[in-house]
Amino acid sequence: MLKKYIVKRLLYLFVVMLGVSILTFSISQLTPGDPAELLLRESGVEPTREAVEAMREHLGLNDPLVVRYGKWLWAVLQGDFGKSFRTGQPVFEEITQRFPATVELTIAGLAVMLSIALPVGILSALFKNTFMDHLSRLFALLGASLPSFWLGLLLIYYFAVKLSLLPVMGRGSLLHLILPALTLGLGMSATYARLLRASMLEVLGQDYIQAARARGLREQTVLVKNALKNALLPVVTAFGMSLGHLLGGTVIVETIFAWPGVGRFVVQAIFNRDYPVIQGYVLFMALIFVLVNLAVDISYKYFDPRIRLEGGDSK
Amino acid sequence: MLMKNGIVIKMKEGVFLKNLKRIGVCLLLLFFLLGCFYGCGTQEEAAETPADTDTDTEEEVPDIPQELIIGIGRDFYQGPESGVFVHGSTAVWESLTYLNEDMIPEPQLAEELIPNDDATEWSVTLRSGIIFHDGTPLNAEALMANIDRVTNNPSFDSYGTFLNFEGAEIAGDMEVIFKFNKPEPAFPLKANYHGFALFSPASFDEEGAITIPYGTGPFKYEDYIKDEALILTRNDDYWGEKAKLEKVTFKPIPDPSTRLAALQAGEIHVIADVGGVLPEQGVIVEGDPNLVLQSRLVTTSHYILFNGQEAPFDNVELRRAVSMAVDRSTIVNELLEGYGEPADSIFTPIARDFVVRGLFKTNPDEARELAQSVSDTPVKLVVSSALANRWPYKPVAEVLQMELGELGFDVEIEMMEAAAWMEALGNGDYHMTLTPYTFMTGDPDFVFGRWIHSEGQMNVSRGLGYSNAEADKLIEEAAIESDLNKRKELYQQLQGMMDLEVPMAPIFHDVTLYAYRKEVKDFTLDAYFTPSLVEAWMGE
Repeated sequence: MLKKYIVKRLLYLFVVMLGVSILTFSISQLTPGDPAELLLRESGVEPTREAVEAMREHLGLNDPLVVRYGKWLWAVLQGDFGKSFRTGQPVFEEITQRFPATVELTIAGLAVMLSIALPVGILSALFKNTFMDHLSRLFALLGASLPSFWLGLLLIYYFAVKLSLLPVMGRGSLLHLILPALTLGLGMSATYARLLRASMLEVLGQDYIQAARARGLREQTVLVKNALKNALLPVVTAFGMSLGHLLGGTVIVETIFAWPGVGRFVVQAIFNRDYPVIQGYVLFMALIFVLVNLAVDISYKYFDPRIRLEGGDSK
Repeated sequence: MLMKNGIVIKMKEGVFLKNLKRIGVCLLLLFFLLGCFYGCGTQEEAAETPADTDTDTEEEVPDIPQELIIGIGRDFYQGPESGVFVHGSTAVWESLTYLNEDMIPEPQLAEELIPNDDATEWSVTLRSGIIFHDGTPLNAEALMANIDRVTNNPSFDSYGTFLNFEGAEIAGDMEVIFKFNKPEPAFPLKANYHGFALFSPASFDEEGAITIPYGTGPFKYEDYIKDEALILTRNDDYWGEKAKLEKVTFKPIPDPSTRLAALQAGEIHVIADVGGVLPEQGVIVEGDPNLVLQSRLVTTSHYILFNGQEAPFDNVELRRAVSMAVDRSTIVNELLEGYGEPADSIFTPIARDFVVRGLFKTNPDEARELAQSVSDTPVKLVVSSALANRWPYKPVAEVLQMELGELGFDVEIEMMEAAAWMEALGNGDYHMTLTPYTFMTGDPDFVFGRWIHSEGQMNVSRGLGYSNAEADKLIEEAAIESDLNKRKELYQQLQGMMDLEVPMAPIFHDVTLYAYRKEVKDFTLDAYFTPSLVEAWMGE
């Protein structure tokens, strides 16, 4: 049953990828800008007309749109995602070589987020309308209001420049990961804490919680095995969406910390109208989102065995 | 305590929950306090003035690793799709000539460049004894291979050095004759830097794309770690003065605040590139006793461009009015913290041979007279957000909005993404904009031929629509004039004309800031943003 469900979802993947590729191709062709001129201007020199024309020809930009899309699609079906206009390297290689850095940052950021959001969310639900709860509301407000670039620069200033405890930027040891992970995780934890709080309050108000307490179960057991497990369902859904977004690259954090991830690379590709990279990235993200959502749907069964997976959706 | 249906359900607080609560509160308070005190502290005590710039006394290079790390805002790795693979600032490759401090061409890989009578032929004699990084010699054959590479790939011809090229022939082991179908008096100027970089033929494939850049420079390409570092090592077989540094690493750090923080923390030794140190960061660098701040007039100038194809700026008097209304000194002193030169010439004053100064004067009274017919005339001033990230174009636009408002123009500022901005200009969908232009070659035709000639590529692609038959004639004549004095005269006439016609109004000439840690010695940046990697060294 589960296998059938997974196979069905993976089949949908092809439809999704075809759809997004057509949409992305169409939209990117409609946006202003000449990739040839943008590429030649990278060295800081205004290129000659002849140079721009030669580059357009070299990049195949003079072919009709349908022909260009057809050639690209045919190549993709054979596993060739094309070459970056800017670097000349295979798109697949350019994305996959940067992906581990993004995965590393994502996992670290989510770990920070969960380690803050879980206790804060739970405690503010348990101690509703107390000082703890008000403090967590303030935390949520700050988290939602503070721009991540500001937070990142603040952390760099204190921990790297003033105290010299951590590196300013770049990727290397675990120490390099701390500040970017904190920047990413702190901002997200505020939202998740409030989401968990709301979910916990709803669950704690249910009759079965009262019944569990009446049966004499320890409070810890009631909270963890009964309340938290059910309260986590909406959090898991949000988590899946966040995971997908983060794996696509967090360009602000990557830029602030000069982290060599996918996000920074792709944003630069967008500015440079590097169409093969943009197209390849969109397919890559479609794959990530479908797989992550599939994993999230499957995980529901762990949190609530009553949930059935049918027809591509969880029920 | 929880209540449900009127029944009090008492809850027992476990030790576990109590501790969690305490930790949570402490964490939140800590971050709150950090946020309150951010920015309250001043910089480290600047008790001493910055150290001497260390060029006065001869110091010995100490026995410590001679490795320099330079932070830049962009990536100097350009890859096989570019003509040069790595940026010129890396000192990996060289050209036939280079420009000295007065923008006069000097021989580099070429020992001599001798024109025939009408400059349609140039005999280029290469220096002997130079080898590429792969050990192969620089000779006429290698030069021919490079010529073929560029002529087969016009996209590699950044300066248009080969636009009028007809062919070349080997005249000796070290001599090649370049032939052009028009006089090319400025060939030595065009063959500098990006104009004609030379690589070993083993560097490029059949299509001319460089796979490994075997240049002749004082540094060799060692490695590139994507988005993280471009690593160079010293070329011990360099034909000129050997570098003292053994290794140089360029690190792309896109965010300017992070760049400065990395310098302060000692993770990089230098920030040196276009817009590497922002004007507002100058005071921070000066206040840090571990750092040295330097500034340099460079070959970039900043302009107001007018769309002369439609009203109001198809009217030359209104263009002059705008130019006269702009308070260039205030812009430089207030918005650039003094790091700039108010422009009184159409291109950088570094080009001493050709530049005419004392033009484009600010005169608000005359501006008002010229703009008497203006009343609430709408003007769309478009600004590229990419350029605004490197220079304070948005505040400059706001100052222009205010100054032109006093003339009766109703200026609306529109920020645009870079590619959208280029397209808007190409379509003439603007009235004014701001742009930099770097005078790469020292040849005034690089400005006039591109921006002022009615068919100049920048004139057309930026929608200036400027067309003046007399200017076209002067430009075409100057481009092929072999007599230097006559050329200078022609360009003087053109510059005078630009002061009256103002198809584009220069605002300021760029003074770039760069900074380094005190242990870095003999580091400078030249007018072309090239760091002195040969002279620099690491002290203790």
